[in-house]
Amino acid sequence: MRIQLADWLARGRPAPLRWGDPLAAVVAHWPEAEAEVDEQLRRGYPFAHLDEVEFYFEGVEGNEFAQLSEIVIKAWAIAPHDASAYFDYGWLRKGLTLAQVQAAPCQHLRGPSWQASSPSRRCKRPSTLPPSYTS
Amino acid sequence: MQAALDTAAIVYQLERGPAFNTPNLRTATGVLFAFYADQVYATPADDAAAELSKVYLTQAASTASLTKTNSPNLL
Repeated sequence: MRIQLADWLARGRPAPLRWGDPLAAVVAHWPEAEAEVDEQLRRGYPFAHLDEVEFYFEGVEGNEFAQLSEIVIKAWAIAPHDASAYFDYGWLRKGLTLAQVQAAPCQHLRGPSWQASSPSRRCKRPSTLPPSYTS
Repeated sequence: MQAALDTAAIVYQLERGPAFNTPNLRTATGVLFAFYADQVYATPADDAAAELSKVYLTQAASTASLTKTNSPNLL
């Protein structure tokens, strides 16, 4: 079943997956991806990825893929006519400008608009890799 | 839930990247839209030209935003 990434972006939750799910839950959602994910693990990848979406996990008791904790969508790698068996990319594509991203929810998420909530502030770049891969 | 999507706004903050001052959009539900730059951004025109690089969804950010806010307008 293809997942609508627009739903993830609107809600901030990776339904039908849940935060804390093990890697097995991701594979269970797309059984056809099992061999691909197994090959990634054999090669020592610290995360699982399907097409342009990466799944990062927290480790628990030696299982480095125990709890889903972060998802990274590589918008820069999605060409205009790319399609995925796993995801509906929706309006996410390479080359989107800030203005286009801000306009996209109005155009593609059936109505929601962006609403600024506070003055600008600086942010830290998100950390994706677990500590065992960065230290 | 679809009704909420139809009517609610995506509440966000405009933030600045630590290295190149690029614009980032962080929604109240913890989704971060990160924009690419190969130069230091300084003007509104630079912001308009910034291109989307990656979108991050994180468990901690999502949980924190849901804890801090209780607005029905938040997605």
